[in-house]
Amino acid sequence: MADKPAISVEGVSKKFRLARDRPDFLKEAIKKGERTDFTDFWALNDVSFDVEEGSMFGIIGHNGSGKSTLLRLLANIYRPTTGSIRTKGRISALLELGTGFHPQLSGRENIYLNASILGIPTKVIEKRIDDIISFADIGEFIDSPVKIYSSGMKVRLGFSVAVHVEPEILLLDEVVAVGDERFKRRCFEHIYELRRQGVTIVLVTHSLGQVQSLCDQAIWMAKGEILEQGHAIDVARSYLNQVNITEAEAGFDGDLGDADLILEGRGERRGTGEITIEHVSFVNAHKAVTPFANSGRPLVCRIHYKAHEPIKNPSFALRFHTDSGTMVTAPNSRRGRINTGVVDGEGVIFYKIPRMHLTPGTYHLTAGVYDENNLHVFDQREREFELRVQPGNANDAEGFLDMGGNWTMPGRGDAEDDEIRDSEVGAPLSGDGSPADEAEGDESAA
Amino acid sequence: MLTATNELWGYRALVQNLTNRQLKSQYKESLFGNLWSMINPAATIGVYSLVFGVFLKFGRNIPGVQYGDLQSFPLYLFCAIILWSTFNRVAIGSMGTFTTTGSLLKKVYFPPGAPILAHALAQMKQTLLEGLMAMLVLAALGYFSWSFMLWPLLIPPIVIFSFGIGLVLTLANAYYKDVSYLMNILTMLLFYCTPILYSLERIGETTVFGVKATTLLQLNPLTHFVDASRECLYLGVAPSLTRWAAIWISTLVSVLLGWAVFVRNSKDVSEVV
Repeated sequence: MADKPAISVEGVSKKFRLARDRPDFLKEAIKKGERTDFTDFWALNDVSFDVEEGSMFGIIGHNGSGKSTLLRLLANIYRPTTGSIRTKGRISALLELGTGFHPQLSGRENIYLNASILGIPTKVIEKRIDDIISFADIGEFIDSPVKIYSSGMKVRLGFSVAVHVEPEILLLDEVVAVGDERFKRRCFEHIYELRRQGVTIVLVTHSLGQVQSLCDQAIWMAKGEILEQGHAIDVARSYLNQVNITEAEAGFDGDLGDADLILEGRGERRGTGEITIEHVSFVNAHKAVTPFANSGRPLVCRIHYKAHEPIKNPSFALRFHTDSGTMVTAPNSRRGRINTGVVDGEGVIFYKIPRMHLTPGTYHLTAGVYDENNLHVFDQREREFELRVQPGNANDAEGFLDMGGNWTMPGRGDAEDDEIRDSEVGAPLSGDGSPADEAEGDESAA
Repeated sequence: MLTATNELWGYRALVQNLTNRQLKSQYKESLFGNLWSMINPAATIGVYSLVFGVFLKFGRNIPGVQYGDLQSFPLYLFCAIILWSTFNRVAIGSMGTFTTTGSLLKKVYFPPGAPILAHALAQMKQTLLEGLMAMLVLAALGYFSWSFMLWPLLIPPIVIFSFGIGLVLTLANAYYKDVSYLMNILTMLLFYCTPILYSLERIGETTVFGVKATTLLQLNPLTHFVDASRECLYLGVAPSLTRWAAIWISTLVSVLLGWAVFVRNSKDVSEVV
């Protein structure tokens, strides 16, 4: 980390005059001074924070908390009323996708236009245009006017330009939440890539999962002030707690506000109800119940069930989804070869994970109970439970999984390593001694 | 002011692209396409000629005409109106630039002067086109003059002069929408206070509040622009040095003053557009 922060915000406040009070008419401007009817609105109030160079910084908060105003100030679109903002390096801001696309010009022409809006010389763009076009994945449409593009294509093109202009500081406003799953994943990959290159990234988002899994530091804003700042995971947790409390007070029927938190289909429950899933809890290596798991550490998932009548050999299942909805793994007790026997009344079943292979982030769990053939659904609670994986003592892997591999180099005394190095192409693959499983991936048969 | 100028220079790629964007998208999706850039001036000439040339018989005895019997009011008018309409497109037309690029200013930072400059630059093409049109017609009628060569020298000053005024108008209009309504009226007044439909000689000895009307009209910088244009094209004479001096002095005053006002007051313009 460099000693000097990439962004330094000191005591920044921003005052807006409310729209209705803007003197739209000369008359009002003329009688300036005697005006008593206007109110000032402080969108930001004495905000201070630093963003380390090369780090990823999250800004969370309810709608209207001043997040976007703050981002605009960072992007130099607005000037602070008081206080100062110092930034180091070229800023690329992506506050809204498709910024400045001219509908009648072609995608290619718009790339040049868009890049020049971001202050990039034409020469630089000429070098990168192929990358931009291929990342946007627009194909032959690149030379057609932008107005015939689908909204997804515009989004891709806008993102592609913004991330390919070699920013030193990238400001993102929720934009990564748009687009289809595939593009979203590529965006995240690219963001990781930029991070690796040392780009400082500021992300305004509603997705706590994104903050927890992507950001190092975060601030939580409310009513133009910083409510909490610190480690992203802690800040997001406090924010979530607050949301939960507010929701509980509102009796769950009020405006959820941050509805983005809930992905489509989440919380859906179906099944005939002979057995119900009561709860899912987690126990860590120290035999303590916890909402958190640590990467690389053991964890036991406990599914608490209640059988309302005796059921023979039901099958229990868990599904782990990432924050963006991708299913990572789906263990179930039937495939786990466990005979659950006849169950009746309340009980609990464990799914023991010797070593947490998921990388840090928030995961949503679906818990379900089915008949012994996994055909009939007794109860299934879709992504209703949350597991937060924190960085453990393992190496921080990127992506969803840390496969737990080790890196070695041959020729350092390990006979097996040397044997592997000297393996011939086409030599028959030998099993590792364990019984072959379902003939899956049996490449040696080919 | 210097830093703002430097910054604008740093964004020259943007100015260039915005200019191209305007030129390329203009007349797109219209049936006649670029033909409109010819039809519009032709129609203007047609209307004024009909009213002033045919109904009011302005065409006779155009003072100071040195070309034997070329008593063509439409051409006389056209040679002057080219510069007037350039002024109109650049200065008055630039008020619309914030409505098209204003939303952009809210999303990404760039110097707010850039779209106005781009708008001004994009108008040069039309001016040049109209000038060439006038020269072609005059030459075809046998009235070629070497003073045609001087005419293009009028394009930079008229565009820069109008740009300076456009900067202030655009900025003022962003804060007070009245400006554009007010300008509708003022433009009309200015049009008739500029010797386009008439020449200064026609006014004679009329006085306004004891001051000679011609003196008053000569205080209008546009008088020198349109007269110079008419001299270069229609009359076939080189404008006097005094005229060139008047043109360039008003140009520099307009652009320096306009830019200074704009730089001082445009810092928060992204909040109001």
